[in-house]
Amino acid sequence: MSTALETRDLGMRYGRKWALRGCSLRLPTGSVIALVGPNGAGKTTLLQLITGLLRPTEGTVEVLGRDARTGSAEALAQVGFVAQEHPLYRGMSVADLLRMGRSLNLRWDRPMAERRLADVGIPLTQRAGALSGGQQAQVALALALAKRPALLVLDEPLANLDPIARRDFMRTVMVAVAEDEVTVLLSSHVIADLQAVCDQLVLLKDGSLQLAGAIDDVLAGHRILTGPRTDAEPPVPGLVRATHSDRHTDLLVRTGTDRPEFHPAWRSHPVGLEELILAYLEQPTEIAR
Amino acid sequence: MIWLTWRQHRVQAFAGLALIGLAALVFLPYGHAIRGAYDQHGVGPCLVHGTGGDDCQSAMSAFMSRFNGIANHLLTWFTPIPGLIGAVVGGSLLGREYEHGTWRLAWTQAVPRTRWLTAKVLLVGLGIVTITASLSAVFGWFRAPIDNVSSRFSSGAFDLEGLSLTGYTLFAFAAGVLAGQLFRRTVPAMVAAFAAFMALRLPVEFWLR
Repeated sequence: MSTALETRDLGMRYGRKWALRGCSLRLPTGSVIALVGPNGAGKTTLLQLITGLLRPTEGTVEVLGRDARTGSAEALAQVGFVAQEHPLYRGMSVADLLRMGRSLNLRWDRPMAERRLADVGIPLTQRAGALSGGQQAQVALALALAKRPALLVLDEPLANLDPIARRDFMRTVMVAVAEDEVTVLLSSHVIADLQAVCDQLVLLKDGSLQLAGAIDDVLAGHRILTGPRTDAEPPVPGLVRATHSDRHTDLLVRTGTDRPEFHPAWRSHPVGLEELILAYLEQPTEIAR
Repeated sequence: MIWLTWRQHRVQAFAGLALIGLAALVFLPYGHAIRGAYDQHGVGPCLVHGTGGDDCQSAMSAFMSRFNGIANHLLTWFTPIPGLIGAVVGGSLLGREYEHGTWRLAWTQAVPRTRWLTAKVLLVGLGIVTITASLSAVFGWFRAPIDNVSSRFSSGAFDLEGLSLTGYTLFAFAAGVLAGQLFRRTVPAMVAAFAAFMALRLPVEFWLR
């Protein structure tokens, strides 16, 4: 499997504050990548570095082996981007927006975009500003896909959408994944939306990378240990987080070769994606690495 | 880029054409009246043969007293117009993209943003030159008989004829583009650009000239 996206020691500083630092990633083509983190974690910064909207303070970012920092036409052409709140020129008709895309791009698949818009019932003559939020998201997605990008980047695509619009939006994305073999990178803080569609996970917190990899591997690499309540932090290697209830203590641990034999009172069971992500997001950052 | 620039600025272009039309509508009949009086008073022959004679002096002063004041007065209100045109067009060029978030749409198409900005500034600048040069032509034609008597460097003439109007407008346009980048909002950018224009324009008018 070839590499869709690779960053090395990527960092972005605004004034004196680092929005993102020391981010090294390598993600395979053909995957659907979930970028997760709380607000202000640096998700949008990372996505804008990948799309060439921002130039990094340090480090490198490559999309399919091409330096994204240059902002060249070729680098821009291989990435389709739907920004937060899916901005469109509100005064333009949908047909105008398609015309704009044709005049600004190297590749432009208008028939495909028209077919996608027809599938979701959006007339080309409609003014973008008069469309519903879900329809605007669909138009923005159709514009991004009409570039025939190798990498589709979606920044909080499901925020502000009602459940039906969310489902329709993700359906269009998954059809594109199947038909065009596009790699998708999407950020969200709604974890439930991601579980069904994503196979890779990137977890950001306070501008630093917490976790990255295939979701199956990540889940296989963690266990929950449940045992009688202990108030002291148990000296368990690879401990991510301990939670205490009245009678029990739950430990989320990274499994590995150094995993010790536990007392028979500790029961071990697999962890769900949502539980895992929340555990990483809740723990103090110092022990994250 | 040409199509997009036209699509985004066509309302402004039509407004510019309407302004030219309006100016022509107002000043063409008036210009004819001036030309009629110019011939009637015999100002033309007087200028050709020298202005020494009493007849010529009185003819010219009668002509000038009849029209010069009105012509200058009519055009005084036009002083801020280049600033308004430039600030509105320039302030919206980047300010509107930032305000509506569409910069993220515009600059992730396959046109590097340097080329995007260069093309926009050049194309819109060309439009401004065309429109202001046409306005200058209308004013130049209208004032031609008066200018024969006074001069094209008199304040009423200089600011509106030749290249001055175009230069003023391009300056305000550049200020508007810059203000749009700095303020990232359309209306504040327009106000700042217009204020900057007037802050330079008025001292030039009253002290430097």
